[in-house]
Amino acid sequence: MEDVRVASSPTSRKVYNNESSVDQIPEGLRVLVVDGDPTFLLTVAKMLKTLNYEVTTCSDSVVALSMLRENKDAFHIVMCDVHMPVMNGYELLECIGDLEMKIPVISYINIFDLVVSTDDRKDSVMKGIKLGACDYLIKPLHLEAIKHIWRYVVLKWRNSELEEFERFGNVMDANRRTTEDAVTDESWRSTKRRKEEEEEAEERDVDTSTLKKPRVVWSENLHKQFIAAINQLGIDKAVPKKILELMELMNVSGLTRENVASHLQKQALVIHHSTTLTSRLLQSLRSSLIIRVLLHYRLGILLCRLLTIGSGMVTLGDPSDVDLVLRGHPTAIHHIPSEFLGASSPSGVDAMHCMGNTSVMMERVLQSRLRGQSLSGISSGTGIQSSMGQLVHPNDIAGQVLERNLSVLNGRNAGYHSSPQSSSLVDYQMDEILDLPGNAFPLSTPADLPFLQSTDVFVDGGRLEVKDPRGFTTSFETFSRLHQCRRQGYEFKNVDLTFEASQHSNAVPQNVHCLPPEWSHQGFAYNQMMGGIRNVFTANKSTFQPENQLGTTRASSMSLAAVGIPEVSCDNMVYATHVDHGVPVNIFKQGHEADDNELDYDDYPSDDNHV
Amino acid sequence: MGSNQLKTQLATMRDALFKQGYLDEQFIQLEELQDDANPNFVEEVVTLFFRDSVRLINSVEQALEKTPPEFDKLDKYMHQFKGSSSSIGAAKVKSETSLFREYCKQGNAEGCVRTFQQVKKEYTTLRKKLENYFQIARQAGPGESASRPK
Repeated sequence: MEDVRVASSPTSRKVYNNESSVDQIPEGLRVLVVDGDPTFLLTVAKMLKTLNYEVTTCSDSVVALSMLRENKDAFHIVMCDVHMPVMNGYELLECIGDLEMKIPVISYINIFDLVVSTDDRKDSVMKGIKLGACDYLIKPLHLEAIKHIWRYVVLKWRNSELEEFERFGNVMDANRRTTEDAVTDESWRSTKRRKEEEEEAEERDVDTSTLKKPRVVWSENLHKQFIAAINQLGIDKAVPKKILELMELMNVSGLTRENVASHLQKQALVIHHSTTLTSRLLQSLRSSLIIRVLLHYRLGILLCRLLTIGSGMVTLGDPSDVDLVLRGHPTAIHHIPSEFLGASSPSGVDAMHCMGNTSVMMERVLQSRLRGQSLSGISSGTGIQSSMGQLVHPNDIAGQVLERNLSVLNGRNAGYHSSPQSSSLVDYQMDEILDLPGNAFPLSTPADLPFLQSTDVFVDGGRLEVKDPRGFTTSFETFSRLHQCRRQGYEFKNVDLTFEASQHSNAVPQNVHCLPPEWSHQGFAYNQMMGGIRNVFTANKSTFQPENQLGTTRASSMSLAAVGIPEVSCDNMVYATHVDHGVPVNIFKQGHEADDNELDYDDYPSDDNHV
Repeated sequence: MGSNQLKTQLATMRDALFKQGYLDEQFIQLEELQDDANPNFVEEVVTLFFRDSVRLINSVEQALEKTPPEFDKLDKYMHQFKGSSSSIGAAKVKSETSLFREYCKQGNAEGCVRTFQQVKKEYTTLRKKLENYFQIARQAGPGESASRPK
């Protein structure tokens, strides 16, 4: 019979290996029992041995502590009596807790030591639990009670995993919440501290190698904050560390720098992908290629939405969502991420603001690109980017989105067919655009509005096809329904410009904002454009209802809609680009081409198209 | 005596121990832990108890001789003693120790001394009975587990 008063000297102690303990559960669980009663130690040791556990007994708390300190992996679990001669169980609990070992401790107490009154009994138990005991048993112990102590070990391991999971779980939970705010700041701090402790403990712990880190899920809101952080920093400064800091300020918890960095890289990859495709188109165009961005209220909203979708910030539901958006349904608008909204919670008004912002952003993007600015974007900068002139605005992801979407769009359309009309579309210089009539576009920025000079736009059975002079065609799905812009009091915030209704015979609704005056372009006629636009839709009357004509939204414009949604089929989306500068939106029906000069104001939608 | 007779005798003794309240359920737990690998486990535990409790008893006696008695220490020893005795199921001993502790808490030296005599008496009685029991059990040979008293 082994001397149960063991562990008094190191030599008598067994050597514990550091092998993984997982497979040893429940057999081979290494238990340390600390009790002043040798009789009990013998009894409980026997019990544990029948369970195929490895038992070490110790009658002295101090000795037990030294054993624990010496080899953190020595034991899986500690059982200790509360009442012991030198150091009682509670003190031992505390000491073990100080060791910061992830080892469960079960304290037990003699039944006769528990006072009869239930309160005191509860107090005793609570004291033990508070000091970190996993369980509080009562002597005399029975085999049944001891049998399951291995579960505490597993639990303890799992809890340490869970603490890690928790951090990521916060991120994942964000996905599910509808009105979600990121996890609180304090939880980040505490989890961060815990994580540090955890990491230390894990190094000591035996079996963590099999644990996989949970993947961070970039929810819509999280991405929102990510974008916001980047916007705040500026692309030049948007390094993962700073992004993370900003995000933490936004009360995001559970992210590591690595998460941010990889997400950043992902965006870059996305853009890279998009730029490869887009570059084919854009490369072919000179740097002054511009996209005219005309934003329709609804389309603008949709654009925002699509942009968001395109950027992966939101998942578009079904096309009916689009309808809702088109109708300015408030509920649909909430999907628009806040960076587009620029302000508070989504709302109808904000959506417009969003749209305005979007247009602004897009403009700026393109503008910068047109200016050949070399923007060190978030994207890691690929060769394509340089050729693209980096269609990235320093403060804007939208540009990237735009690029991506453009490319996706391009990519989606297998049909690239050359157009003989290359001559009709010309690249326009940036400054030309600046001469656009100020009342034409609901863009809020006085900044130059760059437009991607697009191609001919064909309307074909409900699809707009935009042909690039060099032969690339991108086609867009048209809205099956375009609602006329209704005067719902939407207003662009921060938009200085107002649509000058008087410019043309076709009055423009007051609630539409227009392009800055500097947009007025020589020879450009808004109505031309609008007429052209109108052509698109009137040309296809079967498809479009009069009230759905985009022209009705004359105040606004057509969304750039060069937004493709890779994952979502947007049957109801319309993307139309049209060309400015005297070149009408060459929107054709069934290949029927309209000439610049053939568009006239008379064709412009009349009052029945009033918004 | 034949083995069977021994075993019968053993069973009788065991029943008496339980019925007279010398032993309680915990003893049966020990018996259940006994197996072929440890055929004398119960005896081992009991032996350990008696060996260890001698130490405790001596400590208590020494503490009682002091004037005034060191009640804290007395209580501590008695507490341990109580724990040990409950570990093997020594019911009567245990209850006597509880009484002792009561007097201890009251600071009743005379009560302590008186009760301690009771404790010692029960302890000695149990020891004798169990020593007999195990002697016969060894003689009776392994293989037959005692029946649980109902």
